[in-house]
Amino acid sequence: MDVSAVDPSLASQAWAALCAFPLSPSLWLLVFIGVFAGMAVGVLPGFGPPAAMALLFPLVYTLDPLPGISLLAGIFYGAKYGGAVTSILMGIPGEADAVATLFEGRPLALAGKAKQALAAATLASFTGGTLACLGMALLAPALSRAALFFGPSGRAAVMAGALALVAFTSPGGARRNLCMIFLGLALALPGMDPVYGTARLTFGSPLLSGGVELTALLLGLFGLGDLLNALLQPERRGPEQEAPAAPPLRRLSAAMAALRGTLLGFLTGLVPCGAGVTASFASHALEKRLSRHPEDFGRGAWEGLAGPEASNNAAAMASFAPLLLLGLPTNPIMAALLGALTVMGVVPGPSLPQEQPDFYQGFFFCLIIGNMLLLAMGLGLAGFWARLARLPFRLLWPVILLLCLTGSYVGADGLAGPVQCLAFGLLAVFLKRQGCSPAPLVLAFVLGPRLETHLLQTLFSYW
Amino acid sequence: MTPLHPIFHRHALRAVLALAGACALLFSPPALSDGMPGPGLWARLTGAGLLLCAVLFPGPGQKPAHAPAAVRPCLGLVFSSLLWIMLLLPAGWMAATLLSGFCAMKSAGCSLKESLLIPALLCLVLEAGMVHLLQWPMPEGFLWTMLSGA
Amino acid sequence: MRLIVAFSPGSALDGAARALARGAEKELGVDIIVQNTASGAGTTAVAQLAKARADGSCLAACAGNALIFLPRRNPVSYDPLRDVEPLLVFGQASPVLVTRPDAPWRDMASFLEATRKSRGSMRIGIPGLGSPSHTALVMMTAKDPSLSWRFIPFGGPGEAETALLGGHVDAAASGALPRIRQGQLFPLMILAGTRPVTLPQVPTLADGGFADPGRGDASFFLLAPKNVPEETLNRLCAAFEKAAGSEDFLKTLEHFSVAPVLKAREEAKAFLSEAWAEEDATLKAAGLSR
Repeated sequence: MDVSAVDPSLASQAWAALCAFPLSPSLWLLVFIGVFAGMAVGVLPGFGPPAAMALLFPLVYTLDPLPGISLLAGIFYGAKYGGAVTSILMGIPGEADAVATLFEGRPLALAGKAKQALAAATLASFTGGTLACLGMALLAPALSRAALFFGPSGRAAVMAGALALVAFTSPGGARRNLCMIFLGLALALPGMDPVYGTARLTFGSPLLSGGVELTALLLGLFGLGDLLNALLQPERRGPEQEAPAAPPLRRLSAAMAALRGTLLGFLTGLVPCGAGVTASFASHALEKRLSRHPEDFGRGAWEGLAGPEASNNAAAMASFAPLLLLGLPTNPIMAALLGALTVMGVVPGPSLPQEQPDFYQGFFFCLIIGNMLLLAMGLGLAGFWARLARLPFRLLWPVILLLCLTGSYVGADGLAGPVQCLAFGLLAVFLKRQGCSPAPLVLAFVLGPRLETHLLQTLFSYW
Repeated sequence: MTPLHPIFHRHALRAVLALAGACALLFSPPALSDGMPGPGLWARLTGAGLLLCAVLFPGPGQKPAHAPAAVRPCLGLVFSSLLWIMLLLPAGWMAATLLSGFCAMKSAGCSLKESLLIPALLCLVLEAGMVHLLQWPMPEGFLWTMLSGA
Repeated sequence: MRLIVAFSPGSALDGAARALARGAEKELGVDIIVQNTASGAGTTAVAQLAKARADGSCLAACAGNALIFLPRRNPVSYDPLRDVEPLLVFGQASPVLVTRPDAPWRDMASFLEATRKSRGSMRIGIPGLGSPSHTALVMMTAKDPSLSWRFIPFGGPGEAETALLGGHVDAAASGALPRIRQGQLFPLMILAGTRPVTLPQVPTLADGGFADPGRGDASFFLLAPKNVPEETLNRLCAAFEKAAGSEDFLKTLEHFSVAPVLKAREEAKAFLSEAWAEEDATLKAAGLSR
């Protein structure tokens, strides 16, 4: 079966489906529930979409395939939005792909522009998600063939390229960032080898036998680290008074950033190489490179917020392509969706668009509905979230502390989580004093095991 | 926080990198197993890279901060975290959250009313969301079970 | 409650385990969160389980290779016969060696011929080092020294198949019968002793004169950590056994062409010890045991 055959009438089919799309209220309601539930869960750090999806799975199985999967997909990017909220307002990245959002989002919130930042993030997410969705619906078969082209060596190259891009553009200079990258790779070493499954560098300690936990790393490095660094500053400043003024909002360049981010995320999402994280970090680095005001980055550059948020959502949408067309899930949430699809009798594969066109096209329209609902909710709730952020710092930071500790306990399912979280908080202080940025460290940590797997696969091919 | 002695400040990260690299090289499994790349290959590559980085690191690039930093809230944060960690399993997460929240808010300079109210509120919200809605098992504390069961 | 699945999503084990979990959810009344931990061809999942809390909140579904074959080859952190408690055997898989539909070899014989001619440069994608298909292929090379392949380990059968379709490997060991039925993949050989009903023409290992690593490796086990209280275990066993008998579950098994082998708790434990001894003998005969 030729994977690359682009159905010439797919475009006309899509148009016909659009015209005939049933505006059934129950479908809209289900997607709304999904998005809302996802958002509620995404705001709790340490809980990701998997927990929310597991909660609603029993409901899903009683539904038809299309509404059920749309519910789950709604949860998925509702949770992404929730992650962006905590990133921007509290500097706590719930997942690795929310990290790039806080580079510019947090300074904007501290400068008193929390509501605008959230609104901008929502708009960028909407742009990224919707455009990627449309692209997917029309171009997916041809694109998934392109994704097949990326074998182990190709994927390793993409990841190495992303690391290099981040190394050259993160603050601190290339040499310091290289050190951070290797430190990140080193942190990913203890635990189980991803290819052989043997334990390495655990020194027999129960705290290390699971390796360093990603949630603990994120919450510690960014959540606690941010708190500690803020507390260490000699003058306590109020959120509005003495914070450095945010750069002015240049609407056109922010919009262009969102479009660039969309393209970047879309392409990255098709190749299984840590899509969301890679795309958002790469987008931030790219925007900084292309910007005419690179000194704004780190102080709240709007382009640096729009790009990663758009690329994040675009990558999430695009990662549905390997799932539906190749049956290849690119992250744990896609894995859960694949399980659900199999149960419902939908067989992912290149012939899915032809065999089940109602499902295939209907699914994308549900994603677009979800995007629109997310936009409405995001813009509507931005004011509410922003008001929370205006509370005095002395009231907020213990709450953030407890959320980080709880989140890392939940994420690591054990005491190792909070212990590591605290350790990484102290590490963040140390790194800041040394003039190093934690961004390359996090990217290297996430990509390390994958890079290692693909390197070994390449070596096995040619040994 | 008293500034680190200048020499420590300059070489601290270098020492960390070198130590990490040495550990990776010394304690990881063999690089080749049965003649094929083994579990230790990547670890040793990373270790070698770390040692190289330790040499290449350009130093912190700025003088250590001389202004006196606000240490008390910082220590309060660390102490509250440690308290939470130590209390979690024996006393259960609710007690741990309440107590360490109280300590943290006191060290942040909040009033008594705020220090009691806000941790309690947080506890309620998290309890409702995590334990009842998401059915996530949080530790109940073995001291309670011992006291009530024994 | 958590269920750790030792293979990647989309694989036969994953599909069967999720179906089982759904059935058991209804019986037990709690949500079961399924988590895939595919690294180490199953040993990571079992190691995680061995360290989990012994209160019945964490279970694992794995293939027998993590319990029987792999602990012999690699140093693992658990004792397969003592650190985990088998609750159920719920299926037996038959991995199939597949290739692209446009490949130059159309059956097992021509594939083996091509292997001999290429002198070890042909690549086969396997779902993990030490997975049942890997063992079967290694035993083939032990029996016939003129055969040798490069084995490329992937995180699961899905990834191996994707690499196959992309041209990065020449053949892959997978179990995705829906795809074979759809014609995206072309089956060459069944890498087990039993032949699934839907592929009557495809030769098995026995047809080619090769030894079978044993039924143990390919069987799906449901495991609990040791020292879980008896009442909890009985409750769990009852629920899962009921789920394993349900319509939905059997339909899922059929979808993945997994043989519906079902062994309750005592039987499962005995089966594990038997399979352990059996595999010992087979590996010694093939010259692969250490």
